[in-house]
Amino acid sequence: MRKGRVFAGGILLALGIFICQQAIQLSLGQASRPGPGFVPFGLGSILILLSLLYLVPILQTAERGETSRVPSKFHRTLLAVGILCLFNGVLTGLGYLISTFLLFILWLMLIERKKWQLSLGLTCLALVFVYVFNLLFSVQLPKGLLMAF
Amino acid sequence: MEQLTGLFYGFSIALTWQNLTYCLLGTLVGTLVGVLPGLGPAATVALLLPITFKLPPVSAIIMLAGIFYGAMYGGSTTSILLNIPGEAASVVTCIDGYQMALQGRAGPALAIAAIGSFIAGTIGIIGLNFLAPPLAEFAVQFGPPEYFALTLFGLFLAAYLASSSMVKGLMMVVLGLMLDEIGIDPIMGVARFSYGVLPLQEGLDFVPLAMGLFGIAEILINTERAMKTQLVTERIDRLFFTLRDWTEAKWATLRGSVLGFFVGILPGGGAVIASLISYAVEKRVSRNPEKFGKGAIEGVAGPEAANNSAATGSFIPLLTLGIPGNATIAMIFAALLIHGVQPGPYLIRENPEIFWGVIASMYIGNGFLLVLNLPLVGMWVQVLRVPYFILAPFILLLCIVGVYSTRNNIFDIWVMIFFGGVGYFFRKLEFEPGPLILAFVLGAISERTFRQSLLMSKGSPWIFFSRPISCALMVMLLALVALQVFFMVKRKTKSLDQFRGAG
Repeated sequence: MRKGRVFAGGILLALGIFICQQAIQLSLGQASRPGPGFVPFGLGSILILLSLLYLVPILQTAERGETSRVPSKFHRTLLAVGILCLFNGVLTGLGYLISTFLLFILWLMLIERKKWQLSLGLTCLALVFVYVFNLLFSVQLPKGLLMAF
Repeated sequence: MEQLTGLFYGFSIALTWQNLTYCLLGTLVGTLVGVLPGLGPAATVALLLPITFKLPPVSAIIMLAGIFYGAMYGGSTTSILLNIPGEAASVVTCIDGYQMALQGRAGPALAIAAIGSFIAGTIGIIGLNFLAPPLAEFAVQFGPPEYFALTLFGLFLAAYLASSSMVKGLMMVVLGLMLDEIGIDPIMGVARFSYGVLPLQEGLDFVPLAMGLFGIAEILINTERAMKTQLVTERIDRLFFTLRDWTEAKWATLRGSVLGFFVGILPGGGAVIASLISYAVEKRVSRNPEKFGKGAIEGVAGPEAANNSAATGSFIPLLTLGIPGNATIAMIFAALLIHGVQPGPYLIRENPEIFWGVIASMYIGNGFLLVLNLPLVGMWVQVLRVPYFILAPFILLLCIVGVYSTRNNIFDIWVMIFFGGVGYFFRKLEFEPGPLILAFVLGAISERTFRQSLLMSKGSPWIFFSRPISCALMVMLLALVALQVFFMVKRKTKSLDQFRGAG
């Protein structure tokens, strides 16, 4: 947890410095006529200050026998993000029906570890749901390969 | 008198069959969301936001408001029967509610929660009804310095109240304001932080950000948890409380209603804080504080009343000042903007149908909720049996379709996935995303009014102290900051003393 906090504090500190640097490039202007970088520079500076206020006490406290451990089911979270990325990556090309099929079948079988029969049944239900939803609310989801139908 | 005329006008709008249907739908979805653990009202409002695009603005807001206060009712069912809060504002209801259920008193616990919520909801609406119009009249005098001071004060309070740590809360606020900087500068017209990416030049959209931080992050967190729960399954024989129960609970209900309403008005206050404060107050004023934690009915009645009236109270800053006080209200604020309606002091004059229609619909919705949560409690118990592994991918699908339908853009789904990952780490590291969303929504107002104020004063920051309203707000803000710094230094000195003492 401590390492995670240090990492988060570090990222936010770096973000603050980056924003300040970018804000200077955008032009700060003057207090009487603030430029586009004026407010971002102020926000970046506050973020730097807050990150330091957050980081310093964590760094001052010694690590008391705390073992850094990745959550036991973190691979499932990574897999879930992977499935979502895959879905979005193929959505335009394959269309929403095939992509939804992939999303559901992979989610239920790999994340939820359900049997293929149940996964297939729920996937079919999801396809009907997304099709009806698309029709009902006239959402223009990409049709992809099924464009002709 | 003006309020009563307005209310009658509101009822003429809310009682059309179309708006009645949306009110019922909102309260139904709200109760469902409250009942189901793992999906809060903020995520649901974000989820259903795109669906409301094709509705008339008043119907859309009636439905979204119904989801918000409906979730407050539904949350108690899960807390009492499962010992799992359906949404954050029902956390404290678990303590005594579940104990009552274990003692075979689930019926009275559910009934007092529903009746208490109804009373509190009604008190909250009456407060909203009579307090909002004069406040809106007052807010008409606000100029850029007042608005800037108010948003700053609101954001600070949100950071202070919604997070366990002040520094973390403020970091979230600053991040939210920064994300709002992406896109075209509102005064100079220069593209900022878009790096030639066309969708970024239009600025980050609110819907993918909110769905990522709330909806996707929640699902990602739940992939690591076993969502198996112990439902109190004994038949709920007597779905009403005795006269003795009512005697014990009535003052708790009234105290919770009034307290919740005023906490709800505070920016950053909201239902969660209201229920926590109410529980602490009830324990303190009780003649038998030892009963708390062992099935005290006041421990259910007070917090449930408080979270409902707080939900209603939090509409006041939105409808009168155009300042959302919590994440769910921020979503409703975004919905109003999407529908071309500017929330704020002029709302009552320019869009009276929305202002009064929504208030009148709350009276009706409160009645719907009483029916939905008392006689139909058995139905919600059945809903609790739907396994989470079925719900999760469907919620995911709703998030994706919802985000895509906003701008028909694949880029927005990437934004949602990215912020889903960010939200996951926020939860892990105990960063509360509520203040971020609030700051993102208020970012445009705060930057515009800040820069306008500086232009007005030729660069002098004293403008914020030279006008009475903004001066009062800035002084309160500075006093709060000073108090926080004082407590931080005191804590630090105390721990140093302890360290030296141990050495």
